[in-house]
This record gives sequence, C-alpha cells and structure tokens, in this order.
Amino acid sequence: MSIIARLKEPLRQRVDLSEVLVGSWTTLSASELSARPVYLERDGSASLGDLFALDGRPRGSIRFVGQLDQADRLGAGLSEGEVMVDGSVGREAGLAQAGGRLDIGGNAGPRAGAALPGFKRGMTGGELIVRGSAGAEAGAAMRRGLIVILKAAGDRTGLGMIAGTVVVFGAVGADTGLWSKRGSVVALGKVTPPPTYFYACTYQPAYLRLLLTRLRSSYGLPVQPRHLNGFYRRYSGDMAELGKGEILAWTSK
Amino acid sequence: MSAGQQVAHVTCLGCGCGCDDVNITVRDGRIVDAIPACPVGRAWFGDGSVPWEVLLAGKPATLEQALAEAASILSKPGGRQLVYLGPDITSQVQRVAVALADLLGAAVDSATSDAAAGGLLAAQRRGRATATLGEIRNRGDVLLFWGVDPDHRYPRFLSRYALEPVGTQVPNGRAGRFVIAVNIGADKGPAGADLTITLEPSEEIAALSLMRAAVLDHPARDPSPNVAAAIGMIGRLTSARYAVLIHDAEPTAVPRNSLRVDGLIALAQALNGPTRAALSSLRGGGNRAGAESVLTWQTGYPFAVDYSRGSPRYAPGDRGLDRLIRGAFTAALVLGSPGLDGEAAAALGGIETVAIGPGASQAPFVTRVAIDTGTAGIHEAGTAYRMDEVPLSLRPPLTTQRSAVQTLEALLDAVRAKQAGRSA
Amino acid sequence: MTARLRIIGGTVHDPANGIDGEVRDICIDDGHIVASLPDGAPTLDARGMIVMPGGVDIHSHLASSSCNHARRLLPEEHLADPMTAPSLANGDSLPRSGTGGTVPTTFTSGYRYAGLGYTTVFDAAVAPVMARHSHAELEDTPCVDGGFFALMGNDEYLLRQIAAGERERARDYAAWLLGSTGAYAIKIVNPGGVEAWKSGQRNLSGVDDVLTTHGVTPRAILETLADAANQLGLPHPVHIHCNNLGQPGNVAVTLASMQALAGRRAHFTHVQFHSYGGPGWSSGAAPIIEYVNTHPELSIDVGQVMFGPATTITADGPVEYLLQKSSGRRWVNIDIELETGCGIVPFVYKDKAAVNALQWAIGLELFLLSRDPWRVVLSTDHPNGGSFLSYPALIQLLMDRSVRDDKLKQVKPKLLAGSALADGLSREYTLNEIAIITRAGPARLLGLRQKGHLGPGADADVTLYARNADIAEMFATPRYVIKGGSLVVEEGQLRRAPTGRRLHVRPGYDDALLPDLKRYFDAHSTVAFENYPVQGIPDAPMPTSS
Repeated sequence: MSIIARLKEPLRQRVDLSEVLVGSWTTLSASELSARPVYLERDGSASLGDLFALDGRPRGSIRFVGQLDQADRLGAGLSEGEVMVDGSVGREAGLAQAGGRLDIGGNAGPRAGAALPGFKRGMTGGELIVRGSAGAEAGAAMRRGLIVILKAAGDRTGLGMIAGTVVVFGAVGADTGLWSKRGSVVALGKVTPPPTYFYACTYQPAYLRLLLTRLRSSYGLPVQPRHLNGFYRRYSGDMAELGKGEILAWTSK
Repeated sequence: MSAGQQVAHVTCLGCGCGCDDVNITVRDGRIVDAIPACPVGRAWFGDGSVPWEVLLAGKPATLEQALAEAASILSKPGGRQLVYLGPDITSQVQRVAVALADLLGAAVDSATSDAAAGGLLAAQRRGRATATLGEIRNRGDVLLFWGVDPDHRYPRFLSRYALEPVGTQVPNGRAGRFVIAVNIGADKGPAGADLTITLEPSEEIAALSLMRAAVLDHPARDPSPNVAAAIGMIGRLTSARYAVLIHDAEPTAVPRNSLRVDGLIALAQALNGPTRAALSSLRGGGNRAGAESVLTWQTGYPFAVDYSRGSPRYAPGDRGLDRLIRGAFTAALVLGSPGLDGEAAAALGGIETVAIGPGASQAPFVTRVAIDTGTAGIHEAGTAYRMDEVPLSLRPPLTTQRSAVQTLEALLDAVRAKQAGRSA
Repeated sequence: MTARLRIIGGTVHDPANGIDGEVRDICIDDGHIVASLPDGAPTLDARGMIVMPGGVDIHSHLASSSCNHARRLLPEEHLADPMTAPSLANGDSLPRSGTGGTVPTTFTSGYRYAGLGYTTVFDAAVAPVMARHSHAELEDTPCVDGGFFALMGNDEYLLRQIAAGERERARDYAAWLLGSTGAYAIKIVNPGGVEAWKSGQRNLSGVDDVLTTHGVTPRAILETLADAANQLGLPHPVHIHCNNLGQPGNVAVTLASMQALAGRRAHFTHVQFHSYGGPGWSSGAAPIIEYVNTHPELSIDVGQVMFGPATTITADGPVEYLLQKSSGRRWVNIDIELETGCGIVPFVYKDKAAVNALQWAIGLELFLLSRDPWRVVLSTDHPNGGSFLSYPALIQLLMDRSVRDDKLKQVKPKLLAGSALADGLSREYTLNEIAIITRAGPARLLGLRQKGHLGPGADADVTLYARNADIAEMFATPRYVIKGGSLVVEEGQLRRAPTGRRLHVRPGYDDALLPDLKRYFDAHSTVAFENYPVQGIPDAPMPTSS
C-alpha cells in the first residue's frame, strides 16, 4: 500500500500545503511526511500529521482523502512521484510544479499549475490532471509540462504561457492563451481565441493523437474517437508577444 | 489680527503628484491658506488641526501606559499580528514599522490598493518602461491618457507635469504636445484632447493586444471599428519623439479589467523599439510609493509581506486585510490615518488593535490603544515618495505635539525589552 | 564594542605599510589602530591566521533606487534565498531578516559583505534626485562604511554649461551637486549617450560623436568632469563608465576615452565590459591593459564576469535596451529627471555561451596582464558581472592557475582565439597582491587614508582568515571581522551589526552659480531648488584638498 493521507477533521480554515511535497519526498515514511510543515490561516504552523492521518509505505505515491477545498498550494513545486487527490482542492494546486504527477479527482481552484503572482515561471515540468473543472488562470506563465482539465477551465487559461501544453475537454473561459509566447492550448470544447491569434489551418496534428492516446491509456481519460480522428483548427498567437504559441480547437469537420 | 506666518516650498501629499511648491500661511497655529494648492491639496492640508489624545480602552491614558499596553498586546506569545501601513506616514515611520513587524513575525499590509498591486505584479513579470515626472514634463510630445482624466483626482498633473509646461524638448508647451484621450466605459480621458478614441470595456484588452501587435509589426485579425481606431493611433505614438502613456493606478468606482495595466506595460515597452515611450501610473495621496519602496529594500517585496515564518515571505494573493477579515490575526497595529472601514474595521474591532497616527483616537473601529500623532508633511518632517518614486523632503508648516516616528521607536524599544525580559 | 584589543600572532598582510606576511601584533584602541597597548589589554589569538585590512569595494550597486527597482523585479531569487535574522550579541542593534539573491535586501547586503570581510562599500551609480533614497538604504545597510557616486555625465544643466563653454560653472555645479546630495565622487555613465537615448538619438558610440540636442561630445564631458574632480581636490577622481558598454569593437572608444583625458587623473570602471575587439567578438584586453600599465594617472576596476546568475543594473539605458532585445528577458527602463537613466535586465552568464566565456577570459586577462595591482583592482560590478559573494571564487582563479586552467577547459572556446588567457598565462596572484586589489589599492584610489591599511591611525577595520588550502573557502569564511573596533564576526558568526559611517564630500564652489541654477530649476525641475539638497547627512564630510 502506498501512503494514504486521510483528513482527520473537516478543515475550518484555509491551510497552506506548499511545503508538503517540495524536494525529495517519495522515499519518506508516513511518519516522516507527517512532520512536514503546513500553515493554518488562523492557528499558524502545524505539521501535516496534525491534520491528516498518514498510513502506508513509501512507494513513490501519496493519496489525499478528504474535503480539501480550503487546502491551497497542494503539490506546489512538486518534482517527483505521484500525488492523487480524491476530491477538490483550493487554489494554486501544482503551483510551479517541476515534475511528477498531480491527479486531482475533483475541481481545482484558481491558478492551478500557474506561477505565484508576480513570478515569471509557472509549471516547469510534470503532469497535472484535474478531473473536474479548474478556476481562472490555470497554467498561467507555465514553461513546460502538461495540464489536463476534464471539465471546464476558467478565464485566462494559459495566460502568458512560455511553453507547455494545456488540454481542456470542456469549455474554456475568456482570454484563453492570451499573451502566450509559445505553447499549446488544446480545446476539445468551446473556445474563442483572442483577436491576436489568427487562423492558420485545419489539420490533424500527429503529436496530438499520440498525446491523447497516451492520456487515455495512462489516466483512463475519456478521449473519444472524434478527438483522435477529428480535425483541429490551428490559431497562431499571441501576436502581441512572440506569436509562436497555438490554440488547437477541435472541429467537427 | 496677525498677517500670519508664511512657510514656502511645502510638499503636498494630497495626491501622488507631490507638488512641493505650496506656500502655506499659518495663523494662530492653523493653516489659513495654501497657494497654489488645488482642491485636493486644500482638502489635504485643511486647517491642520488634529486631535492629540492618548487612549487606553477608549479612556485617556499617559503615553507610557499606552505604549506598555501596546507592547504587551503585540508581543503576546502565540499571537499573530498584522501591521498595517496607512498612507499618510513618512518613510521614516514605515522603516520602523517594518522593523517591528520583523521583530514580531507579523504580516504587513499597506495602502497599496489591489489595483495598484496588480500593476506591481505585472511589472515584476514583465519589467516596465517608465520615467519620472520631470522627464514627462520636459520630453513628452505625444500624451495618451488611457481611461483617465487627471483633472479629477490629480488636479495639477496636467499643469505641472504632462500637458501645459514648456519642456526642454517641448519648447512650445501645450501647442507642442499631441493629446490622445481613450475612453473606456465610464473611465474617460481628458476633454480637449486632439484625438479621442472610445472603447467598450469588452474591447479594451483586445485593443491593447492589437496595438502592441501592430507596434511589433505582427499580423492580426480584423478588429472591431473601435479597436481599429485604437490601432490607427499607433502611427501617432511611433512618430512621437517621446510618447507617454498615462493611466490611473488607483481603483475607480467601476471595476476595470485587471489586465489593463499589464497590457499598458507591454505596449509601452514595445513602443521603445520604434521610438521612446514611458508609462506613467497615477497614484493616490500620502506616501504609498514610499511603503512599497521601504518594503522592497527591507524585504525584497513591495507589498503583502509576511514575516511569520522567520523571514520575509511574499503573499500577494493573500493580502493582509483579506486575511484579517477571515480572522487570521489576534492583534493589529494600524499606522497612519485609520481610514479602514467596512469588514476590515469590524475585524479590527474584534481583535486587539493598536492605532498610532493622525486621528487614531477617532478611529472608525474599536481600539485597545490609540495614540494620536502628527500627519506626514503637515506636522512631521521626513521623506515621502511621489507617484514616480522620487523621494521628496517634507517641510511641515505646523509643529507636531507627538512625533509618529518617535512614538513608534518607543514602541519598538518596549517590545524589544519585553522580549528580552522573556528570554532572560 | 571592543575598546581595546591586541590581535596576536597573526600573519599580517598590510601592503600599504610594506608588510608582506609578517607575524606581528595589531593593536586596536577606540576604533583605531594604534602602535601599542598597555599590558593586560584583551587579546585575540590569531596564530595561524592571515590578517588583512577590511575589504574595500570601489564599485558595487547595493543601495540605490535602481537597486530597489531590481530587487522588486526578482521575487523568485528572494523566495529561493530567505535569510533569517542573525543571532547578534545581547544589546546590539535589532537583528533583521531579509532575502538574498543577486540583489539582497539592505540588511542582508550589510551582513553578507561583513561576512566576507568587507567593511567599506561604495554604490557606484546614484541619480542625484534619488540621493535621499540612497542615504536611507545606507542607513539600513549595517556593518559597512559606505557612500555613493553621483551620476553627472548626462545631466541637463551640466550639458548646457559644457555647450556654452562654461567649464568653471560646470565645476561649481558638480561641487554643489556633490554637497547637496551627500555623494562621494563624480560618476560618468556613457557620457552623453544616456541623454541621446532619452532624446531619440538612441546612443553615442565614439568620443567625438555629437549629442545633437546639446552639441556636446563625450570627449568634452570627460574632460570637464575629470578637470572638475581634480580641481575640486576630491578624494576620488572622476569614475568613468565609457560609451558603448558591452558592444563588440568598443575597445576603440575605451582607448580613445583614456587618451582623451591626456594625463588627467581618472578611474575607469568595469573595464572588462569595455575591452571587446570587433567587428566580431574578440578580446581587446591587451591594448587596454597595456595603456593602463603605462599611464600611472589612470586606474581601473575590472568588472569580472562570473558564471551564474547576475542582474544587470545600470544608468546606461540604451545598453539594457539592446540586452533585452537580444536576451528576451524582463526589462526595466526608467528615465530620470533630466539627470540620467536606469536600465535593468536579469541575466545568467553561462560557460557554454561563447560571448560569456570571452567576457570571463577578458576579465582574467586584465588582472593577469596588469603590472600594477594598486591601479587594477577587483570588482564584479556587483551584481552586473556576478554577486559580491563570488569574490572568493574570483580570488581563487587569480591565485591558483590549476583551478583557472581547469575552468578554462570547461568554457566554450569559440571566441577565445587571440586571448592571452587561451595562450596560457601562468601568473598567480600572491596574498599580498590580493590584499592590494581588494583593500589597499581601492582605499588608495578612493583617497581613504584611514582605510586599506593597518598602520597607526587607521580605522580598526580588520579581517582574519583561518589558513585553508582552499583559497575560495578561506576568503568566503573569515573567522573574525572587526569594523571600527567592533567585533562584527566572531568564530565565523555574525555577532554585531554596527551602523556604518557615511562617506561623502562637500567641496566649495563659487556662489555666483546659485542664481542661474535656481532659474534653471524654476523653469525645468519638478523638485524645488530649495527642497533639492538632502538634509541631515550623518558624519562630517571628507576633506577635499582645493
């Protein structure tokens, strides 16, 4: 059994989990991980073990169980291992994630996989899966890596992306991909590219088929044949920046 | 009746313009005239009368009693404190306040509005191209007012800095400057502009993006007619010798698109390919830029700093006042005019709050300790930063009965003594 | 505070007094070095240690509005380098936490300079209108005596005087400006080029290029301000950052600038950045250092590039414009008040980048081909070529050829053909030469007679290093640092953080300047003439000899 962290009591205040999974953690025992610091908004410093009961052996992964809407910055700076969350999380999940996998069963708050406000780089590697919806500015300033959002994504998804890939199965909000330098936003649902993106062509990107196939097999994501075999409208942008990014919008024909 | 005493070259902190040419007439310890102050400036100076009380639990107390109680409130073991820097304190006070926050492990918040904070964050990500007001006065030959008419909140900006003056490179003053007004919804540019562009709020970010793309000579899609007009003025900007983009960094009644300042920063930077350009951010009164400057040199971050983990941590997404409202603190130290109201005031009343500053005794929230001091630039000498981050010396026309910086230094000493006593 | 202290048995390197590695005692009384102390004075056992005067940094950027703009731009660096408050001795100043990176917070800068054995530091570029800000930052920079140089090479009033042939008035203005701002020396950055950048001419690249707005050349600016500094008897001569920094082929304008001064005393700064052959990239170090070697009126600091993160901060606006164009990095430009400019671009020097490897090699060439260490002193132009924290690694490169040669094998050699370093330079600096280029030399160039040496009357600024085969480690971790007689570092730990002294000048000038200057202020300045001078500058001004 890998490590399981069960929330002992419902959270009654926001908690910052940004230091729980930074650096090397996959070889730590449940008790060692329990000692990692967390910061409660009202009650101050505590350890992970004060909030969660941790069990199991280090096998490179951890599973969080419990209502974590008020838990912010889970998986911030993650660089290794697999992190699974049964439910929804607060804001800035996978903030500046550098590697590993963060798989959120429910929704993510704003700025998942993004940079801290004012910081130049968001996610720089790894994979972040949100099986529900994501709040605004997912993947803002991301530099590398993959974010997959199964339901809707909020406004300004991929704002100022430097590179990397964001795949959204549901609808994406306004200003998606705004001011990106490079990188790809793949919209399987509804999208309106900013006016500084312009239509280039409709085609079947080979790499996307490979990527979606892998997502289906590795994560069991509901990739449909129409996604695999369909066509994509490619918009190049953002022309207010380098213009080397793209929005790939699935099209029925 | 006496003619009154004249104090020349007084610096006005009524808005961020920091005009330092004001002549104040003082009669019987009251300000009776301020020339050439504008309406905002006259309101700032008023007659200079402020209360000089010291209150402990709402009742008069000695300064020693009040400071002892304040020190004991702020240094309670296990407490979590907020230090709030109001706008009308000198940088000397700000420096001591941040030192105290460091000593306490407190969070620091300031009068930097969320709107202004958005500009600081965008500038961290992108950098920026800007200039001090003297450069704008002397070089700016194309002035673009993006959704702001400075006349309302920064009345002397146009006459002192941006529009009318004769500049070293603009020898004909107003006649030598081309003025563009951009109206965005309720945010209107100045009347009397040489060119006026009107945008719907929904078109604003598209316009900024497409204007930048045009400056960079990148291709773009067909814009709406309004946006096309905005793109059409790019030629005016690129043929300027020195273009100045002016926007209001302070919040207005109608919330604006938070990406506005980001887009303006990017546009101003891009204009520095074909010509020279600067973005000028209008800031409100007091010493707001000073708080950002002091915090930056002492912590590395311009606002929203938290010392609770032993060294400065940046928490721009978790402003102190928001956390205050959510019940994160057990005690607060509010410096400067206690202009906090609404939920913040209610939250301050619910914890142990120490207020030190002009009018502290009349705070709109319940205080445990309130110590009145003078106002920066009216009663207190020191330094305040103009909206363009130029430090100005303050020449107070009135004397202070209780100096803010000395009061705060005494509090810092009292807290240190308390902590030393505890560890001994 | 240690009133009296006898440091016994250390091996002393005090080149200003001709002492090269002698075991002898150093006596301190009331903040100064004295010849002897009565028996029974407290002692510090320095046996096995190397004793030198406290380090003197002639050219750094640590306390200015421009540094503060750079700090604000670097939240990532601050997050990665938090610094908790040190454990100072009971009753000492309030210990302060902070953040580091290439542009640390003020308290952290002071603590880290002291932790490196430095006790005197100058900020090399302060816009006069921002002087008040620098004084405030210096007040919050403990452990070091400090001051700053005032930027004048693009000042509107000064350019007008030069254009009008009013060189005496220009000198009087320089004197007024130094005294009004509490500066220590006159700084020129890209003479005329910053005004060219601001007025649309973009830049000036040769000493006889004409600044069209004023009809003035860099040559005239260099001559006028070099004469002003020398005639005013300033302790430090004019401090010059030449035109065309960082561009291939700039060796021509650098040599022309040196020649333009025709025998005048002057200091040229971060010369590495001005020693590039052209039109392609190549080393131009040899002709520059040869010129310096044969012209005793000139001195330089090197501005070594060290591989790793840096932040470029300069008044040279046009240079930063070009750097952000080529690097695509974040860029700050601030045009300042008819006085000067400010440009900032964070940067990383990589040993696999050919131009960076060349820059690194050129700096070392300048050091290794120098024949007079008193006039060729150490700097990285902190944080432009690298942080001051990299000084120990630089010292190791100078003292240990094998370390240098190993590093040379790792760098990209593409552009190094023709550089003397690639051809093999065997020189190794001695400890005494290191003491010269890091303390005695800069102190002498700055005219600080009480600094950079350990003779009676000197300030009791002393650094003690425990001998260590690893030179870089030895210089990075002094065992004791004494500043003005106070034991700042004890057993390698920061224990005291005294407020440093402010180093500034207030030369005299002809009052006839003032009516004209006031008219100019009234017409063009946004700060009143009456409010411009900084009040309450601590410590008496240094004497000038005019």
